Amino acid sequence: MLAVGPNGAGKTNLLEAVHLATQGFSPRTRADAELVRFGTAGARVAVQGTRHGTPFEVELTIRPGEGKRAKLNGAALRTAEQLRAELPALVFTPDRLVVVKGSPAARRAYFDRALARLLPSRSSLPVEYAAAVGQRNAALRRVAARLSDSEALAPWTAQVAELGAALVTAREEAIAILAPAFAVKAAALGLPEGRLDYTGKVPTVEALEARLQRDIDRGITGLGPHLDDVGIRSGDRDLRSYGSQGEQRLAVLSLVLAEADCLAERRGGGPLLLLDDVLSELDRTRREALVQLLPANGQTLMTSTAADALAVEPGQLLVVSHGRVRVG
Amino acid sequence: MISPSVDNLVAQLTRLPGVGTRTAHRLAFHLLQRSTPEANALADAIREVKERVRFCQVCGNLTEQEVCGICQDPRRDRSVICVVEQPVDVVSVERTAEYRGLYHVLGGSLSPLDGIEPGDLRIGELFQRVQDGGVTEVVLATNPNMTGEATANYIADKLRGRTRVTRLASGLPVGGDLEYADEVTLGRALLGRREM
Ligand SMILES: Nc1ncnc2c1ncn2[C@@H]1O[C@H](COP(=O)(O)OP(=O)(O)O)[C@@H](O)[C@H]1O
Ligand SMILES: [Mg+2]
Ligand SMILES: [Zn+2]
Repeated sequence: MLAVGPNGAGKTNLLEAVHLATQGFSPRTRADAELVRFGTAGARVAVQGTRHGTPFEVELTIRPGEGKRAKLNGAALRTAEQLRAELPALVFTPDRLVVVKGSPAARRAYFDRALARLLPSRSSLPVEYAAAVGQRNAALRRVAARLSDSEALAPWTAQVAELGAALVTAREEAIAILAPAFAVKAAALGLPEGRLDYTGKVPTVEALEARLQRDIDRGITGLGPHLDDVGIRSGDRDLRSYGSQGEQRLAVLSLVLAEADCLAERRGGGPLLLLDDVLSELDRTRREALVQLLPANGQTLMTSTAADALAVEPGQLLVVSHGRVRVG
Repeated sequence: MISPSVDNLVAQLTRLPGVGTRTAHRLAFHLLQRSTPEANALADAIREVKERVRFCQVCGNLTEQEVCGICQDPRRDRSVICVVEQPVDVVSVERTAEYRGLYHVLGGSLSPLDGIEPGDLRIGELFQRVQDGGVTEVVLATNPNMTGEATANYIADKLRGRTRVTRLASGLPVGGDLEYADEVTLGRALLGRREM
């Protein structure tokens, strides 16, 4: 579907509301208060649809100070975040360019979220590993301050080693799943030889112990997948440093489309794609290529300021103005 | 500000784990609406546990004596020690009515971020019990989270070669539907599957 309207009409708001109702959180902000209309006490989003052929209904409400509450098919969920396990949604917004041109931390965060969607049984690994590194760093500082000894450090070194190895393996698997689809999507959008390169550094107990004194001096764990990066390339060219703004945008879009395909294949149903302001930056051939690349059995909601940016059937056009939506 | 004594009560309640200001206010107003004897019964109960209840000298469980009922019970198997984080975990394991050994309550889990070191838990006391002899198995029943695993790791390392050390298996909640199990729990249960 295509949502059209002038700047400030509320198109991004619409996308955000759909994301909120299907995922339990906003792709833009963690602050619930920002999601409530100015001057009102709360917010409510309800969506209805079908999933694998059965009806699917979500209602999410926000009251500042009370957080979010979600109901799935009438039954209250423990937390609104549980929704994300029900129906995956992938987002493209112009600020997602940071995935390519931003810091390694931005890429790690992005690929770890992809990992959680592609390998749900290991979705807790990135958070658990980060917690282990946090504990080990605290232990290192306590050793440096003579509040503790290296013996008390051992269990944290063991946890970092164990969870770190598992995280590297999971990332390698997730990237091996994504990479071929990424190359296909990138090529179709005119970005040749798209490649994702990941070489994780497994923090073995031996390797961590070999650099123990340095880690104690600096108070941080200087080895492990919390320092990894993922190379996003076209041929041998690293798009992070040598990609044009346009190529970086195509790379992010290719990543989203690649993951959509992988999810569709692994979960037997395509994800919901929310593509904000993607068309304006693409020429006509690429816009047409994009439509061909959307997952066949998923649903896509795009926004554009120009109604003629894409040829869509009448029922598929949403006209947004002054915060109201009507079918065009 | 309603009255200094209400403020004080709210402040005291807020210090309890899991109680925010909102809940503290609700509880305070609830107590104010109760009759005086009813409200005093709560105050007396708090005073009484503080006067009478202490930690068992052997296992660290809660007791009104020097040594708790479980440690004193001659029918318990003294060769097995189940290590848990909190006294409430003893209650959980006891409810199974499957376990006939003794316990050791650590008083928490290792967490350098919160300044909790081996010396802040009753780990030395556990090693001493094993040292004293007669223990053939130590069952590590710390929580299945990151700090619980690290604590189990630490203890297992230290006891290696001195006695048999086992860890609780992780699995699925019985009686529930597979449909409602989260992916992480189900994934771990799958890894720990057994031959039939
Ligand atoms: N919490 C809010 N309550 C009411 N209006 C808001 C709120 N947050 C943003 N807006 C308004 O929404 C409009 C932006 O809508 P947006 O969806 O970003 O437009 P676009 O169609 O350009 O994507 C702006 O006019 C902004 O002032
Ligand atoms: Mg917008
Ligand atoms: Zn006892």
